[in-house]
Amino acid sequence: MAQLIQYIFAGLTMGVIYALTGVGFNLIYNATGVINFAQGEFVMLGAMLLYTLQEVLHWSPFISLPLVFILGGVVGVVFEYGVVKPLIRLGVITVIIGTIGASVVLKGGAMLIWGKNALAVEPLISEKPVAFLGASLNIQVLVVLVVTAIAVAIFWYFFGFTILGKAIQACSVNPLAARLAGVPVERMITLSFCFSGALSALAGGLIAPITLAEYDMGTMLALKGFCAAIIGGLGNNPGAMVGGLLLGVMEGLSAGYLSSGYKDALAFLVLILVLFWRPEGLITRGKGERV
Amino acid sequence: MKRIVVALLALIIGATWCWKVVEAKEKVYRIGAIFAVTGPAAWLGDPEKKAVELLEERINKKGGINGTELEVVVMDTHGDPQTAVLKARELVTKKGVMALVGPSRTPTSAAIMKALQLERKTARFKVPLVSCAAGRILTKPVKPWVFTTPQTNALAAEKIIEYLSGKRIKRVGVLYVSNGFGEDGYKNLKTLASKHGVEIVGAETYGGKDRDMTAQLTKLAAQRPGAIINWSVGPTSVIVTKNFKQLGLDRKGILLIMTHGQGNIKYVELCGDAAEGVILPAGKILVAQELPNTDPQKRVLMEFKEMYEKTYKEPVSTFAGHAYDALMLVVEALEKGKVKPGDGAALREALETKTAGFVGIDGVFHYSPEDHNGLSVEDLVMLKIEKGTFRLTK
Repeated sequence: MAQLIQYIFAGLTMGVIYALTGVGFNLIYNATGVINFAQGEFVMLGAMLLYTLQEVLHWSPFISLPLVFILGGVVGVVFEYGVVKPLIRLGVITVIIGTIGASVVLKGGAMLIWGKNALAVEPLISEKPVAFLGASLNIQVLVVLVVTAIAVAIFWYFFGFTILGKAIQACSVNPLAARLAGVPVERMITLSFCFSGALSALAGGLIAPITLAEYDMGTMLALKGFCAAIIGGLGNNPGAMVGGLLLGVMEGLSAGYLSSGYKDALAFLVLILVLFWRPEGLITRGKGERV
Repeated sequence: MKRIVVALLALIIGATWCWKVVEAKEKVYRIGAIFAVTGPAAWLGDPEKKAVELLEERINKKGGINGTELEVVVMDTHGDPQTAVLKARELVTKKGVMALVGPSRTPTSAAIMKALQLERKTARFKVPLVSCAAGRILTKPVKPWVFTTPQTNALAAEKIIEYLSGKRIKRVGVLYVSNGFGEDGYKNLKTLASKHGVEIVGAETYGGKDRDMTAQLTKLAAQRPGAIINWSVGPTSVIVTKNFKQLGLDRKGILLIMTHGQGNIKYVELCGDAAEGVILPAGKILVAQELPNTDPQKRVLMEFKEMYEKTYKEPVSTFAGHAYDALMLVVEALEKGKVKPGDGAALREALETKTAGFVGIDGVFHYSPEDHNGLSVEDLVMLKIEKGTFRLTK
């Protein structure tokens, strides 16, 4: 029993990060129809920025982490104006290729600034493990879970109950109609990039104390985050949350009960099965297809 | 048009003439040093380059080798096999070096070996390669022109198993990264364990980019081993160490054993408190001060350590030691074998037959026609991490 809980928490830690990255994918996809291949680099930048604020400038983690969240938003907006806006006239595929280029540039830039070695970041509260139902947990794992839950709650409120949030949703459902209804579509798209960058940077900042910050950490996280988004149905934010957690827990369980060698294979096998049987994602509301 | 042709001809003639001059003036021992000075393996290549440059200066200040000047030409592989081959060719054909020292990693070393056909007795280029990489493919079976200096996976595995049976620990779990390095380590442990009456109760793997190993550790711990051995390099080893502490396995009386890959103060810094109590086999350079004065390597180690740290203001690492040994073995062979400048074949002979008993940083070398690594299990020590530094285990 204690083992099972240990495996589940091992999975949840990574799962939450996949989920946040997956939501980041969705926000940009909904706004522009683009799959952003530089999403993982946003996560990496979050981790690196936290390292700089906390370990180089020695600021309190309670200031650094929110600041990383805000800086991530800035990165998202800069990314939109620097990469997406100039290319979007040429079509979605061109932008996607542009994001691949941007991801290489960001990764290379990070390597030049922060170096090639992994960097250690102090955890938010302490590194002492705590016992929970017989399992031993890192406090940072709980921090990750709690902070993510808060972020998700805020986003849920924002998208469900505020005019601004609803306006963003309207833009993703039907940009033309939204424009006719007086929604400033351009600004909403910028806002989506801002949120996407902020969430991904937060994910990076949360995970850095557990996994170390490294210039090339984004690639793998982006891949898994993308999986999470697909499993939940691309564009569906609650779906991406569930998809990410599912993916993480599955990894944890397969490493525990099967062989750890099959962990990644199993994750991608599930991805393929989902694409076969429910290409619209595991969690979908009955929705008419645009013809 | 005419002018251009004339200018070109003049250039070609001039260049060949210069070339002739360089060829004719073989009055120095010219050695090529090729390391991953930049790129992802720069943490290896950088100290190696520094060590070699330091030694070149020191040797020439003392009057060179056999009264002849030593010239080391350093080149950068970027840690990339293709670049390594290009640079090695340039060193051999254009710079006319008589031996190559380095490169830092097994893939780059193997690429140079293949390109220059050093695995054949009748290699086209008579240039011995003394590599700073440890991969078994370089020395098993013996390649006539290839030598290595670092302690091998097999030696580290032997040292660990010896340590465990000395401590009467019969049950061990193994955790390793699923690449060539990790698998080689696991294979070595498996063959040696049964010989020493140690049982491997479980073996788990993880990917080189994985960031959480608590599941694998929990599974291994459930088998109640006396020790868990982790075989990997880089950030994964740090995460295993942190996860191990997080699960409180040290309080359950399980030892965490790492490999010579963690014999680097960077590892301890990244782990922080989690590294306390970790045990690993490593070369003696890390604990040079602690060695008894009777240790044959003590004097050489202290001398190099002081020289390196005084010049570069950074702690000496095992990697600098690999390069020290590679270059100094060549120097030793040149002196003992009275090799003439430019005679790579004679140098190879001398390396194989005349350098036995050479006291270096990685150990006391005994190169022979059957063994081109030349180290033994005595050249490793078991270290324990205490208060953020490496200490010799009793």
